[in-house]
Amino acid sequence: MEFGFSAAEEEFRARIRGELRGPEVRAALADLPDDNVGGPELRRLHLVLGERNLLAPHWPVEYGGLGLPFNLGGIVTEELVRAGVPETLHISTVQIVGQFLLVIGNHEHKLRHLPPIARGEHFVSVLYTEPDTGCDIGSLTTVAEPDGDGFRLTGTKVFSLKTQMADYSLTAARTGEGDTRYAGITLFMVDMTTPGIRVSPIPTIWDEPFYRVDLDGAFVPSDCVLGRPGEGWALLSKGLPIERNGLDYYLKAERWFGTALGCLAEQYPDPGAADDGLLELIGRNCASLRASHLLAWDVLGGIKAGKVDETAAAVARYHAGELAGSIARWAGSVPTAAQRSAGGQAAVLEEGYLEAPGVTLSAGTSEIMLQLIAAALDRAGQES
Amino acid sequence: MDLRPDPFQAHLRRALRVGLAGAAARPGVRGAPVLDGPASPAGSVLAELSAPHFELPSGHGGLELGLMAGATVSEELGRAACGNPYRAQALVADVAWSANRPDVLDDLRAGATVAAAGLECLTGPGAGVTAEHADGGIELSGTVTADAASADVLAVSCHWRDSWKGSWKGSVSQPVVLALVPAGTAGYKWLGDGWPHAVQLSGVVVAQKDVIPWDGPVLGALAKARIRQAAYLLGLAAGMTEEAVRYTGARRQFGSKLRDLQGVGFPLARAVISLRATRMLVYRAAWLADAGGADLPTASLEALAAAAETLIEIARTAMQACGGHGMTTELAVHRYYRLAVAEPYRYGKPAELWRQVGAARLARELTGQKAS
Repeated sequence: MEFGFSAAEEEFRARIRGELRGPEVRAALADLPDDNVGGPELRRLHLVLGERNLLAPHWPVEYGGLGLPFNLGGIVTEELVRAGVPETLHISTVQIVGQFLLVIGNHEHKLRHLPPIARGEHFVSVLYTEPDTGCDIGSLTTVAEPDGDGFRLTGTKVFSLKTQMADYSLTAARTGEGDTRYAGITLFMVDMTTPGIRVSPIPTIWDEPFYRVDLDGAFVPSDCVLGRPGEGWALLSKGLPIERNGLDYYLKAERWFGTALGCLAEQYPDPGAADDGLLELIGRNCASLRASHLLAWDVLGGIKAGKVDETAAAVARYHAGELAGSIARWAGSVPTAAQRSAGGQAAVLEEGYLEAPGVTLSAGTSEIMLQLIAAALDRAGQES
Repeated sequence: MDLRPDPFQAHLRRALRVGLAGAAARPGVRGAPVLDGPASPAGSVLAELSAPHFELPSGHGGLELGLMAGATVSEELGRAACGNPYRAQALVADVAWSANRPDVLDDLRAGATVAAAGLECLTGPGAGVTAEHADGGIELSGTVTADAASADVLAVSCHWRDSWKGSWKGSVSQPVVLALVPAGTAGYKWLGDGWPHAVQLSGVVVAQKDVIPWDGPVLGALAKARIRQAAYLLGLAAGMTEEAVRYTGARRQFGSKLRDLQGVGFPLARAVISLRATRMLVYRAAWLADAGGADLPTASLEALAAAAETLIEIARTAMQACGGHGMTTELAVHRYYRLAVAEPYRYGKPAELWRQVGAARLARELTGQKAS
């Protein structure tokens, strides 16, 4: 076992950090507005990152990457977030949809979608959830009816993120019925400029809105179907563990914890003056963060070795999500009145507190993760 | 980073598992849950596998396999719900090596048995053994827990009388010493046959050469001892979870396997998550010990505190899942439960360990702010 990053990995990390400290990236970061809504400045930042191969260097060269090992993608994600790049777009576009296409897409789909994503030109939103369909994808009602050389999609999708910026969406719709509720689900890469698609924001307690997407007979050509019609559930089962490595939630937790510690350091110039309960909480969170990071890298290492472990992914996702939520709820109460009035760190923690309910809901709720682990209890010990 | 177990580690684990499966368990549900010390059946299994030599330096007949091997031994002892004849020997060997006491290493190689005592005093004030200077050495008095009921040498941690003033927050190096007390020394006695074992020292005089301060390089031995104990606790928690998973997979209620009911299955799933997270902390700390990482003291505290709390939590979960059967000889889960009353606290209370980690982290944050 090797619990440290290798010299080559550290060298790669240093190079990425150097790139992110460059004047153009810093200028693009400085141009971002304070809110988390997203707009032309965020698009510009991704173009700058794409020009420097900083979005998906771990993808194959023919699909827009640099052909670097898969685990280096995790280092890129860590450094992007630590540099202050808003993570939502990178997560949905590169880590979820891009990675999913790499695993289940055909060559043509990969050639069509991955290079523009790697260049920062295209963004993709994930449209699975519906007003009456949360985690239970088998209950989705959006229909895709055959029409000539394609399908017409009708239905409503909700609770997606950054969809107003999306050029494409990964959309699940029902093309038929079968023996089970999961039969007949099909996945599409939908061009979001297609007539019949309307995107509208749903305000949330957080500074980033959800989006509602109404599909009113939107035409999607047959060559935009991923896999075969009706095969969507099987594809999702392959792809979901890859996106559930927990690294994204670990990075949120790391940011909120570090920001809270910054506030506390101002409050306690003498650490000995901090009360016992606070010190215990800091100690526990230090260890939990470390464990969460290692659990995420355990999943990434498994994927690199060609072994996607669904239980390990569910463990990592649950641990990181619950930890991030727990830290955010605590950290929201850390700033003093004076720190709140100064904004800055306190504002980050205030937004973190409001985002917290979402981190144990999106990309599979904590309860779904427990269900997956409970179903695999016989082999879940993992001690050898 | 590569978190897959090494082939050697996996092989060692299998060998230990096979051997320890044949170690006789103490019968009954009352009294000591395990046989400790020289009488421990686990001791002969470890001896057959040369485990006592795994971590010893090669110049003293050891194999220098490092703490990854020691942690694996410790975890498997816990998983099998055995007593732990390994940790005291390894602790004293490390201390002897750090303090340049080859004579002690030679005694260990020749088969001397050791019991460790008083390690609970290393994290903060409280009852323990106190030391005072005496002619030719120090004089020890007090009553503490020990991890065996007899041994050739008692390795007892103690603090100087009246030294527990002021704040202990953030302190990793503390004014305590380890005294090596040979069997037969006047003034100490083992207290009955209860468990956890206890030893009472009344004016025991120890020669100065056998008093080793817990500071400098010897603190590395303390960090490694904490990691071994963390691995043992991890093993206890893992074994207890396996017992509960097995039982709830066979037991049927309301027309289904017990563990298929979410009220039972979800707590067990959370136990698995805690186990995996704790395992990462334990083996990272062991890896740091072998690799010479500077973060070892904090890593050892984190591993021990996390493993202690994981065992405490799982003890409740597993007993609840096993119902009344778990309180009888019908299931082995009772043995883990009875071990969990003392083992998580043997090397200090988890809250005290966390406070040290938290204070160190807050101090680091302050240093960073001042530097910037």
